[in-house]
Amino acid sequence: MPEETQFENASQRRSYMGTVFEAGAKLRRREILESLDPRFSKLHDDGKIHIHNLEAYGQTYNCLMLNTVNGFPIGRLKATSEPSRIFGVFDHFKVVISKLANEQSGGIGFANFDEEMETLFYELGLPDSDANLRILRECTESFIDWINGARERGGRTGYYVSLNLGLGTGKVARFVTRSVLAHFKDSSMECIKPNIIFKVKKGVNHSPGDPNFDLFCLSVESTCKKMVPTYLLCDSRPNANVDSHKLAIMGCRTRVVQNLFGEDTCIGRGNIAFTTINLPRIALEIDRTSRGKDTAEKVRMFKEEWDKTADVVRDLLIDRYNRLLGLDPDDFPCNLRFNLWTKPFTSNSLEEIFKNGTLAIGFIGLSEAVRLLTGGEYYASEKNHAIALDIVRHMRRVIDGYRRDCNLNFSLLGTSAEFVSGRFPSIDYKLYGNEVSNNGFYTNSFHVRVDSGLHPIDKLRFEGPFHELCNGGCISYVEFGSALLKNTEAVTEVIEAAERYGVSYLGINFPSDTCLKCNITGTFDDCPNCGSHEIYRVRRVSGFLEDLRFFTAGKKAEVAHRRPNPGLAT
Amino acid sequence: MRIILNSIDYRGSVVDGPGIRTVLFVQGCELKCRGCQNPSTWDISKGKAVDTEDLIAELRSKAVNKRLTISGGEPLLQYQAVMEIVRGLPDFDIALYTGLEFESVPKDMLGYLRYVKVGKYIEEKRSTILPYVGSSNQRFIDLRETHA
Repeated sequence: MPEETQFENASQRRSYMGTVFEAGAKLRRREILESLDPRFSKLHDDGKIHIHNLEAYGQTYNCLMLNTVNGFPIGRLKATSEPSRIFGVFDHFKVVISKLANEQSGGIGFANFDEEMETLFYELGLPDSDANLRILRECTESFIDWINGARERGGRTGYYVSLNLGLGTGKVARFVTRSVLAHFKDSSMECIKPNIIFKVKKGVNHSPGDPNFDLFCLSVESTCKKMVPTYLLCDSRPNANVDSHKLAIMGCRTRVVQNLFGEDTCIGRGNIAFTTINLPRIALEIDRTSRGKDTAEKVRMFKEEWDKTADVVRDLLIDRYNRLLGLDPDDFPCNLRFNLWTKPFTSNSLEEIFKNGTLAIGFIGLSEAVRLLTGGEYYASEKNHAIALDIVRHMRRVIDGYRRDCNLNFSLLGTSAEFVSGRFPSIDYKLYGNEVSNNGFYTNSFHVRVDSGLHPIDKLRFEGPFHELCNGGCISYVEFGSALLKNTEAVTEVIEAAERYGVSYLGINFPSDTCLKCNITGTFDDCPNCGSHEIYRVRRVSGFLEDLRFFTAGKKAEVAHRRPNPGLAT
Repeated sequence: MRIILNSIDYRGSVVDGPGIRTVLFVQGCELKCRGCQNPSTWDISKGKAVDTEDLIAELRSKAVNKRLTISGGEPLLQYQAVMEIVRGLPDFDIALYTGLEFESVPKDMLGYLRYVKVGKYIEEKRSTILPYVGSSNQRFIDLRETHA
């Protein structure tokens, strides 16, 4: 694989089918843009907004947290032998994942993988004997390996599967969590999927004495070694009033909770579509036309221009939603067969189902935008931080207004923007030539710039308050300069600080290098053990771990600028 | 009292002891190990003199999680000043990184420390995969476990 190989996201690989698909998708994106209201296509072409998964516009929705119970073939499996029942559970979910991945564009989530497996285990009448648990463990391991290795989407990309777990205290649920974590931790560094999200909750797994504290400790050990799991902080301010069993992360950061049409839950629901607004672009426009004006005036103008852009994005998302409703339930054969959404596909119109989904308006580059408006970093002073928060609070208020006025589940998303992180600045640099666009990437959502040099705990203090505002999902990262090796205390310190500062979802990153000859892991150029030059490098991109060679241009630039702590040793 | 410093890193290290640590690089070292990561800390005349009381106040305000590693250079070259600092931060979790062997670390300092890393850096024994040490001959000791 040549070094320069680049795709729209880091999980893509070459294949004959994938090449044909990509060529078709390119044409399809153009056709769709041409079919859209010119107000929409112009903003996209100009790089002021980005319509994600454009080829799926009017064809399908984005992602789904599976309802695992509705269409599960209990009756058929119950008639089989005990081992076959366990194999059958995993066969079922492999079928669901592989079919669903061909009928939706984004991620597939399990909200409580441990408890869902336990429920099915007992419903199938399985005794929790040693023999059955052993089969369960081996099936869980092979399920993870299958997700990791799969390239079945045209050979081009794998499945974006998220396993949320950690709350189940029953014997089988705990066994499932332990099996998942132990296998992920102990498997080679080339095992980088699925995304595993550990749900941290007081009284369940948070502190010594909690029934699942041992599983939390195992999770932290795994994070130290492989950056996975990430952590969903159930007691943190944005999540404290949500039933933690109905809260989970899907894909890279998507959060679906509030629902105008039913109970607050993520289960059986997903994000229909999202579009990202380029905040630095708006700031660049203001910067050019408002020389000499004071910061307050510039911020006012910025919000006004964002409002205009967001109004168009709102209309675009409604148009996309309406086109989706124009399809037939038969266009969703996997959903039709297994009823994976909260409402059955068989007896309802698509509107009855998809109105439960969210329409997300995302943003990228708050850091650069605030720098342009104030002349400083948003973490440099309380005043600038207040301006940054005021902007995001304003965006949320407007989006809550859309939600009321349009009676649709609009939400605000802190976009990871894997592809647009490079696309937006390259367009902006051509138009404005400003230094903020000169790095080759824009900073993820509301993140502090990657080379800030802030103490990780301070970084969380600045980013924390944004989490409550981004109800469509977001993540904060702490970036360390070296592999954590056995430093589990660093992980628990980060988790505790994140909880204190209102972070909803947390990831811990560090450069992870593995010698392909002797399998030693750490951070190095050549293997310190056997001297081999064949090193496999894994970095996190947009919520998922990926092989560094396949990063997009924008993310490669960002990785080069990530400036963590120095890791000096005597 | 004054202490000669090289620099302070507040960005949070994860390789200089457990947890996220602020690292104080003390100036001056006579060991001059081959392959040293911080040769700029060797020459004591190139350091910056700081009042220990001011330094204690600064560490209190900026090392937000009260975890400190005193590294260098060789911190024990300025034993008296380092004693002032550890005495001034009794509520901190402090690690001392010295190139001397454990037997040579003054016993009256140990009571103020949580961890100590001892031993010269030996380039041939370099390791980036053992926690908290630079070469495999060095030892990282949890003093609470030892004294428990």
